[in-house]
Amino acid sequence: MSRFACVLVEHFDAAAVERCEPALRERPLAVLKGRIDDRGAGPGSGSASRIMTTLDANAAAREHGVRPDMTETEARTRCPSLLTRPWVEEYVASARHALLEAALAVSPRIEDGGPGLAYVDTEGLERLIGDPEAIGRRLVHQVRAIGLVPRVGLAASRTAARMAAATGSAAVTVVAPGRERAMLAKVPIAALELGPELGATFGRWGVRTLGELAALPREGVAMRLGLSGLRAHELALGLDRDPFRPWTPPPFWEEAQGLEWEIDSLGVLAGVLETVLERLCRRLAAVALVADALEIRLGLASGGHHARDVALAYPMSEVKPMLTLAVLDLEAHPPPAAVVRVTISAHPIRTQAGQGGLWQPPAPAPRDLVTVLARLSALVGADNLGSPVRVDSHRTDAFTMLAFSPPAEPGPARRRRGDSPQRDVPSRSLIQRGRLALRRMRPARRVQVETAGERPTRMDTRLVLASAGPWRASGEWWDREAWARDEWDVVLGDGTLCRLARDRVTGHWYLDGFYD
Amino acid sequence: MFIELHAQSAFSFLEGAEHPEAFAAEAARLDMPAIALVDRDGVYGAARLARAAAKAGIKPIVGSEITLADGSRLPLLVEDREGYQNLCRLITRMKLGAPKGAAALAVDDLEPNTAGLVCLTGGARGPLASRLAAGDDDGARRMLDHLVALFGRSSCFVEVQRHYHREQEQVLQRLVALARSARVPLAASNQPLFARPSGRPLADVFTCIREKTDLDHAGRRLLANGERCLKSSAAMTELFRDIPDALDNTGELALRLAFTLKDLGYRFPEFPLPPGQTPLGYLRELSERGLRVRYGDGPLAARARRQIAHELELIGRLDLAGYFLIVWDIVEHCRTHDILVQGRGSAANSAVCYALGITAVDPVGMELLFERFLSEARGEWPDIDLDLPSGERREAVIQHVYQRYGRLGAGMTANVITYRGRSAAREVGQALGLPSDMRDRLAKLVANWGYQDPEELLTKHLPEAGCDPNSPRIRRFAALWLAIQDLPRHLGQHSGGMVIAAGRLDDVVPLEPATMPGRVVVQWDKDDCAGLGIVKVDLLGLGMMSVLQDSLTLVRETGGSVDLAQLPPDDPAVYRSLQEADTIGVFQVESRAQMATLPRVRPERFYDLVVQVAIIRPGPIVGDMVHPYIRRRRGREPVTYPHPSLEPILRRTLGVPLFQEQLLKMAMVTAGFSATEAEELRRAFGFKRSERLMAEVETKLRAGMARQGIHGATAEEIVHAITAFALYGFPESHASSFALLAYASAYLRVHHPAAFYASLLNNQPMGFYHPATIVKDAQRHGLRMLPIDVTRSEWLCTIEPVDGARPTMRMGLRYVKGLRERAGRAIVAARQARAFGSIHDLARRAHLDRDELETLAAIGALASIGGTRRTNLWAAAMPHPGPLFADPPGEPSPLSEMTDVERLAADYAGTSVTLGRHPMTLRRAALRRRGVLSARELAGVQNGARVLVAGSVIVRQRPGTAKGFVFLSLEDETGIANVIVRPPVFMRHRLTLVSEPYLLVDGIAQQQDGVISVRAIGVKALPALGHHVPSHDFG
Repeated sequence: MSRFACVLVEHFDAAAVERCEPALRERPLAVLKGRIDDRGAGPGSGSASRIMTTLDANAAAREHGVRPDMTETEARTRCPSLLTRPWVEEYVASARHALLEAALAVSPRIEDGGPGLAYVDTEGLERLIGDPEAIGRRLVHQVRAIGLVPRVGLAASRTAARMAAATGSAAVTVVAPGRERAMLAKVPIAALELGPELGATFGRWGVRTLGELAALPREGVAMRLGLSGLRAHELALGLDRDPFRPWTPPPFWEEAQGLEWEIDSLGVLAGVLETVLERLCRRLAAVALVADALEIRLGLASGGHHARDVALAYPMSEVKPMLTLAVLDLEAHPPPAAVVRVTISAHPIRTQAGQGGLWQPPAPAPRDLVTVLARLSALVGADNLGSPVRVDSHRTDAFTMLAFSPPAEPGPARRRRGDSPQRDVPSRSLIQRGRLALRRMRPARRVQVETAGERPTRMDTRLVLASAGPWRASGEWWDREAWARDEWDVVLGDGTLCRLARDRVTGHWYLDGFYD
Repeated sequence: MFIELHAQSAFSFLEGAEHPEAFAAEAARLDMPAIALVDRDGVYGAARLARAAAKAGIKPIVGSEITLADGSRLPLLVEDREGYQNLCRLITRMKLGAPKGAAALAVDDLEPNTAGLVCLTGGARGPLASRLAAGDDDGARRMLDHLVALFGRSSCFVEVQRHYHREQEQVLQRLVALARSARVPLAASNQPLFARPSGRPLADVFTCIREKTDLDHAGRRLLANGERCLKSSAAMTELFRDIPDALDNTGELALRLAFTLKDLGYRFPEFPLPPGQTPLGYLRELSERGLRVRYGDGPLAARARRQIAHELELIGRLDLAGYFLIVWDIVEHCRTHDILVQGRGSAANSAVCYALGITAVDPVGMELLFERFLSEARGEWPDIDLDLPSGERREAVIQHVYQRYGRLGAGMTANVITYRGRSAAREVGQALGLPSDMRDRLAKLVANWGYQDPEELLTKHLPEAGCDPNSPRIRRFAALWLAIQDLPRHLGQHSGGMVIAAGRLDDVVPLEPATMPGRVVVQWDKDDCAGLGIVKVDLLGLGMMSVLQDSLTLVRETGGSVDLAQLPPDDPAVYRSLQEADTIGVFQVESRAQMATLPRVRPERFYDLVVQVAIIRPGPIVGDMVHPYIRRRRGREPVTYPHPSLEPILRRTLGVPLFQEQLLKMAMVTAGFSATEAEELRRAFGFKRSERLMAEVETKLRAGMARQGIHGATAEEIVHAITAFALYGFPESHASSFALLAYASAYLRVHHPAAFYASLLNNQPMGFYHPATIVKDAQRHGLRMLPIDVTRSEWLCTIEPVDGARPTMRMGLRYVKGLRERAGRAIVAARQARAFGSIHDLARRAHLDRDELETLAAIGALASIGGTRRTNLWAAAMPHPGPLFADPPGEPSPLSEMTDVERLAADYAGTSVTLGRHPMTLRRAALRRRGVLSARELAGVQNGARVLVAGSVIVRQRPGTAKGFVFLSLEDETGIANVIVRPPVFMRHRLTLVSEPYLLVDGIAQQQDGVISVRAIGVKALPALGHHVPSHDFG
């Protein structure tokens, strides 16, 4: 009696893409991946280019001679009508997951054999489903339902089942009991996918099929090739020595909702999002986990996808703030077409047990804070919200905005006495030397300045008694924001010490600030 | 009066952004009578500044900024020759005493070498300013006192700079106070990194490259403004109005710094002469001795004597006798140490060099032009290049020169690596923060740009790359890419140029360690050395010299004898092989293009071979010289001359100019140029061509011809011939030297094939063909080749005498892939002790690892110990029992024996070659049924016949000069078939043609002057059999 079934989806990377875009199934398709090419990089050049190579190709592309590890140019030369897609890890992961789930729907004992490969323990299924052929058909049916096209082999061992799946001409191949060795004998040894070293050794030995490998003396092989050789020999005999490692589904972090109609309004979409999020949050809560990021993936009526990553300001498992953030994000970045499918996946993390520090300032509830920040961001723009930090630039007063994050408990290093939290705060020694502080005007005030040569002699109506400068700086000559300015420190008639600046691009003068 | 005493060029690598020449030109424009170039840790740019300054009419001051152990930098200026020598010694000591990039000196290390040097205290990174900026006023004071003690109060200046920085001004005030209190004079400088303010962007780009960042992230590491340019006296006066003495001191100091590189003190080493001899007298004696040996009482002796006398007279006048003696000495060293040596290049024009044995081409018999080698007007040292066997023997000669002239008496010349083309585009693009895909696109494009008008780049080429020419970054890219071209990037080592000096070379130029152990490099390149009168000898490695030398040794070892100097000059068998293009492995004439021309040129004497070497080159092809020459040679076209006066010059090449010497003579005869002017013309159109110079010379050429009454089409024809050819033209002397090696290699190949092929295989990789092709060629020529055998093979291929038969070649263990040389030599040593009892005995005694043993088994190298390949493979896979245990018991192998195809695959996989049947033999029967001809059969077909040929692709070429045509060489068991693929056929079958190792070609036979080729109509791939031979593709 057959004990195992092997479900095999060939060219799995391509199949994973076809699963997401079924329209590609009948057309030649190659999945591409970037590879660093350092062939043209000579000594000293210090450079290597990135070239795209085929990672996998579907059957239609293979008919035209497209094979893995070809450059994109070569693949296109072989098959001018070739369609290409980049390799996306998520596609493969979800297809692999889906394949295992489909197999799990037939038997409670399955094993993950790698991408595109699942072993199914069929013992006892005959009473539920029928003969091995029927079990195979059921498996094919289940896998096709999730958008993959499998071949199924059934045999007394996993290896025999896998070889039957790989070499059989029909969708389901059943190896009759006792026929395993005969079936395996003709299979090329390459089907075992042994390591390159072992493969090379068998190649040198002239061992081309599993039958030839099986015919070698077991002890002789073991003495020469050790455990790996012995394992290969046993596989060639159709013996499984590796223990069956049942696969159990991981916690489910993705929720999806297919729609029967197209949604083109954000209000309606929000209702669907809420439903999906509720399911997701229930699952998170059930295992006491929270999410720190959401990925919203909207299937579009146009056939494409619209994906948004929504960072959560703090890890949570509450629907409302998640929904608010998701909706605000989609308001700012609406999908380009009507939505037909909603998928939300959450990145789960474990929450840190504990409470806020005693010296931490009181803060609004995280959910309120997040909502307020999201609203402010939508109102003033994400670039204008956050905390200003100085930029390393010769441009005086240059700064940028850092995204706001709730204040953290100061670390132990920061709490030591005498530590200066800000690098740019002048040190005590400089202050002691009598350096002046500049009270800066923001924005700097435009002023009228009269000059003698370059030197300012009068600001607006006020006489300049003395001046030092110019202190000249310029930068960003490589971009549209090129700037150049001269600064002067001047003493006005009333004794005021201030800083004037002349924009060398526009010729305008500004009062930058006063010295205290 | 202000003189800039602290300029830094791009030889302050990744800091300065200007050529030294630009500083000279700008100083002249600003009426600055002198300028000091003070690059970091070297005088790399000093020679170039000296040349440019002489042209601009200003005084170049030599100096260098020395990196101190605390990271600060101390500028030192040279006052006199002693100071220069001290500076060179300091830099040499610093560079040779530390790993590359980590060189620095402690202040105390300066002590013995401060005489004749003036010290400035440097800019922001100087030892004073850096201490003051850090608030260490006491440290600054102590450092100043230390410097004053080292250099003396009159030779130490506190340097002040003003670049409009607020913080710098505070330091300056304290520097002034410090100088005043220590009674040390001030000196102002601007420490320019570029000549004009517009140079600032490039300096910022260099900062980004140095700091491995881009402009958006470099922050305050970039320059604050564009003030680091060369400033005029007026501008500096305005800046330093409050401390005028700092300016005045620069003028006075510049007057004091009188040293220039004219006063370098370089002396060529004196040759140890016999007592009572003068260099010229001794050279004359040697030449006369050589003359007798070379010419005897032959018909050329009288002419040769006259020529040598003429040359010696000039050599004496130019005081070059010592130089010839030293080169002769190196050549003699090679001879006595059995190292083959031959002078090449223009030295082959000299009868003295020929008589001394430096060169091997008879310039008298060949009527070569001596002035191309040496002329009074050139004012340069002659250039003698010596070809040596590459590898260890060449290194031995280099080490001999070091030994003879002292470790600090000789050095390799530098090779200044500059920013060019693609890599420059990538680095500029990276500094500008362009995305990597755009950088890649730009890098691919710029390879074809050449030097162009920036506007043209922007309007034409950048949009082609998909870049927006209106984007400021893209506009900057174009300008910066152009500006960075040819700026020095780093210093490399010239392949073979050595300079030597009497006494210490590090008194003349600083020395640096080379990457190769045991070598030092001088800080100047060969042009700088030549410009300063430093003598250079090129010791170049040539693979064919190794082959020739090894062949001679093997011939000698097998009881034969060949003297390269005494080869019969017109050996019919050699010329027959050349005429039949049977030249695989022959120096210079083995390429596919040479083979396609040889049967058409049909060389019959040595000069034909000289022409053959020179003709398949871009110059003659671009200048459309090849076909006229062949037509004339075949008698299909009358021999004519553009002008009757050119007949004596062009007669030997049938009226077609082929050599540089002809070009010089043509200009001299038709335009009345002097030898010097003709040489200038050659240079103007040579590799370092400049549009302006070319236009000037061309005008002069036309004017000269007009004066001689040459106008119209004739003049145009001559101008075209000269200008098209000057760039690539091959010197006749050079071609002659190469032709000599070509003849020698062809001679050995024909008459001593076992020695020649063994040597050729022992010196791989070299030449045009893969060893597999060389092996098959040898076998086709009847050479018996024996396979690798652990009981017979040496590490290298050897000759085994076979009774009553011609010598046989044994493949060496070096061809076993993955076999370590040490293990290979251990096999040889172990079997000499006693024969191997079993393969485990072999493994144990030769310390072979399992992979090595298995490879030896797979290629059949263990057959002599017993067993077949597969039985040995089965046995070799058994783990080694170790020295204390007996061999594992023998057991029958369950493996089936190798088929022919498997043996072939195992041979290629394990050795890259096969001595068995050619892969095409295995499919010949099937091919014959399809009517496919072998390469030999192809020779008999009619012109225009439809044919099928097949073979392993050994050459694929698509020369730039061939308008898209692709040439293939298909090898089968009978020889090589040539296939021509026209562009449409190539486009149709591109992938098959480019990637398939075995091809079946359907085409039309074309016969031209005995050369058969197939014009492809259709191409199909043949399924590969196991391994295949790598082809020489598009090289």
